[in-house]
Amino acid sequence: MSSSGDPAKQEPSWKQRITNAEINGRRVNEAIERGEGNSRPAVFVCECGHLGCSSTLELEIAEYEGVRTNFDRFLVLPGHEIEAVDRVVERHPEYLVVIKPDEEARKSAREADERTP
Amino acid sequence: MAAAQPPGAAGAGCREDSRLNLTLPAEPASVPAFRRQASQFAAEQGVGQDVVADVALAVSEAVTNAVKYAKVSGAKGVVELSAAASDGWLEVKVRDHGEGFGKGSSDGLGLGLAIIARLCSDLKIIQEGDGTEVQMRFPLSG
Repeated sequence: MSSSGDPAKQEPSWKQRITNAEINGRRVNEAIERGEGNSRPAVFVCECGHLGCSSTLELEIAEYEGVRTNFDRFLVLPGHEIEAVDRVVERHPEYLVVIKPDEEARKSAREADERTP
Repeated sequence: MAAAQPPGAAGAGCREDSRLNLTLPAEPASVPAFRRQASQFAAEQGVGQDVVADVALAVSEAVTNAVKYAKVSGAKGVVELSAAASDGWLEVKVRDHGEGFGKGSSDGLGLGLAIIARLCSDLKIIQEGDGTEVQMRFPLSG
């Protein structure tokens, strides 16, 4: 990692990289939802921070909206939660909802959330 | 400025020291040319081999999606790629003029985007006007 003071030129920490992956996953899902409208179930991506994950799951739009009630709630498959950065707040048969206890991660999630004013 | 016409592909491109623009037909044969040009440009910016590989795969997925959208919508359009390096980041944009995903074919689209989401540091998907633009940022220092 660079010792430069410019954060943009430093290699992201592993926590930041996990947060980036989760935020990017949510942006994918937001785009999928925009494309699908409200008429049918859609295939969403797992928003976990595992860098090798490309899992998808089918949800009704209303179910996805139930996850997206706040900026810090993320949709992940069961078993994809990362104990060090996620806290499970809802368990469903097909998916979990996790939040970010870490303040830096919450800040990143808030800033990246297109729904947060 | 030097022309950057990929061999075997009918399209237009240009490259400056810190910028690449490339437009090719929205067809599967264009995917390797986009991947090759983008990864070469990334390497020229001095990023590590891991990031070059990430750029190559992410561009392949984004262009593949763009070609797929064009096929779904029946459009015989083009795919545009631009890349630029500044302020510690390599920014790559892939734009198509198809109908947009979610309009009749969702098979595999989420999978490709899920892969891109893991490869880049920052991902934005712009769905305005005609088509979709996928914006990806990679760390130059990675």
